[in-house]
Amino acid sequence: MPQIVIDGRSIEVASGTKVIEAAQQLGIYIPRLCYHPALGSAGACRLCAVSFLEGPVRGLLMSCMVEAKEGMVVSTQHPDALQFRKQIMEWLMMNHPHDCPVCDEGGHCVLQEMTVAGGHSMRRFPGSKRTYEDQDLGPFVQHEMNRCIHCWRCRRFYQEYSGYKDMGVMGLASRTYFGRAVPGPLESPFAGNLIDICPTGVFTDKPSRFKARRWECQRAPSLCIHCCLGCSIVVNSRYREVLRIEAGHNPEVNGHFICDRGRYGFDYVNHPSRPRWPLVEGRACSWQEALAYAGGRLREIIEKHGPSSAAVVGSSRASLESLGALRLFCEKHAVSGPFLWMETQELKCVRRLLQGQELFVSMKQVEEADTILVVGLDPVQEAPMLALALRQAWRKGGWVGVVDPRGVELPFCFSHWVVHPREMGMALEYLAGKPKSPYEGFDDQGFLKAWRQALARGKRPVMACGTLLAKADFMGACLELAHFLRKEKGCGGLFPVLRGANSLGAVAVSGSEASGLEELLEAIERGELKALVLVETDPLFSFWGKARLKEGFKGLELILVMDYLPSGVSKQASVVMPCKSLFESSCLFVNNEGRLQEATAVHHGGIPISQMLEEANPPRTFGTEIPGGGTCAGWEALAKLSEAMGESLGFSDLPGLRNVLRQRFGWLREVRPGQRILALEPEGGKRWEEIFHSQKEEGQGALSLLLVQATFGTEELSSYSRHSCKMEAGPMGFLHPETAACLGLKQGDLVRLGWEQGELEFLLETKENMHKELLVVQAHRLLDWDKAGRPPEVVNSGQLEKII
Amino acid sequence: MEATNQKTGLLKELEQRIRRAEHPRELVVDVMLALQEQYGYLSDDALEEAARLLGMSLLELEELASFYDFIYRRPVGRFVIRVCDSVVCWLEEGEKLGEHLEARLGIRMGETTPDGLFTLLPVCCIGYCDMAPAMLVNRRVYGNLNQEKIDKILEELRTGDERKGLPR
Ligand code: SF4
Ligand code: SF4
Ligand code: FES
Ligand code: FES
Repeated sequence: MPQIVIDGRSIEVASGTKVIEAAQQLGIYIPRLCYHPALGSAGACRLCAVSFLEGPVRGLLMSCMVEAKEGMVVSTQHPDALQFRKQIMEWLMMNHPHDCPVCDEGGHCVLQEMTVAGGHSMRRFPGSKRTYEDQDLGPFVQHEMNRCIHCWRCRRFYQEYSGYKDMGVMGLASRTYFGRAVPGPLESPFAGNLIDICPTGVFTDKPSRFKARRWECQRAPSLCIHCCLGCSIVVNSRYREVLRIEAGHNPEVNGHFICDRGRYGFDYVNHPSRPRWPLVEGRACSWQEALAYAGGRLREIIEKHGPSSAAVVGSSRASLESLGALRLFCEKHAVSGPFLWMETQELKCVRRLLQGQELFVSMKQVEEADTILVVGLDPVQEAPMLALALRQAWRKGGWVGVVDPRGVELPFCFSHWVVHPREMGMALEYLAGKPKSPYEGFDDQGFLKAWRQALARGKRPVMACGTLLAKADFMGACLELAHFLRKEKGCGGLFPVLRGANSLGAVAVSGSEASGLEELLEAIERGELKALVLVETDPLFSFWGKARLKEGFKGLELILVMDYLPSGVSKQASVVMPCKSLFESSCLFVNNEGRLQEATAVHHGGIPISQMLEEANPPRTFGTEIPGGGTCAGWEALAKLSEAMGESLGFSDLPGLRNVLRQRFGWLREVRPGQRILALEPEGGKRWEEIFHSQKEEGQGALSLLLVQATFGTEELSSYSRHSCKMEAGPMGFLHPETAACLGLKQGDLVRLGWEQGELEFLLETKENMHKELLVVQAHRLLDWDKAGRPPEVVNSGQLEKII
Repeated sequence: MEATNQKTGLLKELEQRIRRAEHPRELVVDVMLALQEQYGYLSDDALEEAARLLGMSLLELEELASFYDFIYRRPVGRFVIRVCDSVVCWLEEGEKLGEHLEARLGIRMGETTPDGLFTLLPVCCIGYCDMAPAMLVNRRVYGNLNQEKIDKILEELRTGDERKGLPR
């Protein structure tokens, strides 16, 4: 551990630490453009020069390229260093356009800051400037190559860090060009990070281009809730409109980056048809009126038909506060629910997984693992940032093995054992050392042997598992294998990928009798239910029984929806109460590894001024209210409803609610936001028994139909974003090329899958690395995938036909 | 017909070499040079072909092709003259030779004569400092140059048998 003196202050740092990092640990910020903590050093910009006065090296050197060594004495303020850095700034600006005022990076530009800090304000260079042509890089990233200072950060991120190959550097010397070989949308689902990482205005955010300067925005740290990982983000809003998301820095979770779903999915909060006023039977009214009406109706119904004739429904995209309030509401009024799960199966899976909670690891720990099993999970499609974490593990020499029937693609080399969903549990049991040998043909290619060896070699194994394809028995096998590895290695962990941003929060507030929406549906169909309160949920988006549910709604006397989305179910509702999104009220979420995280309110919210311009600006009707700003958080609306029914839920504001929840739920008592909840206990969480292994079920020519997620197009919130919809590929289906050939189909065909319930149309892509007895279809927002019935479904190859 | 045969023959040969290689990417420059030999320069089509053969992205190929001086992404003349543009040749008044060549051929550095015979390019030290000033024509080196010598070489290239003996 070398000791080093910087600007007269001494510090001991880990060996291998660069001088620029050592200085940072002392709180000394050495100017830099190419160095980035996640990308390391490149020595490209020459701006981080400092003077080495004593020690193994002397003179002016780049602090990002020199490792701190014992006895070094460094000055960051030496006249030589200052003069050099000043000169570098002038050189860097030599070819730079003179137009910060019309550059979208202005105001948050590192180059601008460094130029000002270096005191370079007068141009001396009389020559003409180097110029480039810009490229159209798709809907997210704007390109302005003239602003490039050749720091290589973009290329290092795009290719080395994230493993995509369609953007890079061409040419040499003063012709060096950062872009694509030919113009076109960037292929990486992490491309938006170029915007954050470029220290100049070459890559800027296209959707928010020229809408605001950084200092004009209301900014606050928040959370991404477009998948279960809960990456940190920073939100920028102006004039009541959320304009732009940047990656937040969270060393335990997402590091420095986020995915493009997380960056561009936010626009649902600006949706022009977002509910802004309470509606009763389609008519706008005041909160009092809506509450009095809904509260009165609910009370009547309960009095007439009993409390179980009313039910409350939530979802895993609702905040912990809303979920908690739902539970309190149920208890107070003895109504049914809360129903927080689309499928009982999913609830069972998550409960089962929670039994291994002591094995859960963070994404950071995944990055540090050397042997990783990814089972029943397609990271890029389901939890994109996990793919980047896996790549970092791989870059350090780690081994990654994927057990999945889908044509999983990852931005690095991995071993892929293609196993039919019904056999995945079995594969895991064998990997965990089950002695009996598998039946013939199960493992033709000898994966078991090779993988057991890989697992035996590994020192820090981690298993990442999904719940989308899983049956409860599969979860059991996951746990067994994870425990087995922990026992063998003394370390090792489990990284669960769940379906919702708050799946763990939802399981933790669910009572022991909780079930999925199937049971609710049945109760509706039996005519037992008369009233439904739906809070921050839209079963008509994510439930497999959408059509039946819609039919069942006809028999209900009251449907009350509290949401911030203009959801499908709100169109069926008799009462709609407009809610705040997470950008408008602070709230808590529990991510997939059990970390309690807080999103702080960014702005008050209301109809964005940009959407009011046609009406009139300034407004012609005067009032003290923010137009469209009269929304309540979900928990707040529930509390008011309860009061309208004559019973208080026991809190009146956010701190009050959090207190009540802390008392009610033991697991919440000791943790602060940012920390992991170590023992999330589902109430009365009895052990879920193993369920049978099914072997072959269906006859010749039958295909198992899997409905799967996609990075863009299947997630609920981002489906309402104008930005991310531009990157959707349209509903896609996947077959093995041989299977496709047998059916007379090929890549690029528009295919129809038809049966009595209806038909689905999708574009066919063939994938070599998927299971041959499978038809994989995206549960796309543009597809009535619920027609496929309750998964898992088996389709006959005869049901598939080519349209074009 | 003969050209097509030649082409498929070359592709077959390259495919074979790539199959045998442990790390196909190592062959990337060889593949590009071979295709360039075939097409005269590395056209967009040739670049795509190379990407397909090696299983690399178009961008990865372009990164190398546009960096590496001896890969031509645009058509060049029959003879590519590379005049040394580095320090030892400068000392021997090499800069004047470049100007002389420009005057004689009626083109600027980076251009090709209208008859398609000559392309003129500056090049970093080619390692013949002992014969400075020096230049390369295709793959042959000419050293200890002066204006007369250059005129003679140009004349030979235009008319003489030199043409046959100068592989690109
Ligand atoms: S485009 Fe930006 S990140 Fe890339 S090299 Fe240029 S300045 Fe650096
Ligand atoms: S990986 Fe998930 S949580 Fe992270 S930014 Fe993407 S969608 Fe959001
Ligand atoms: S930060 Fe050290 S050279 Fe750029
Ligand atoms: S400097 Fe011209 S050949 Fe070396």
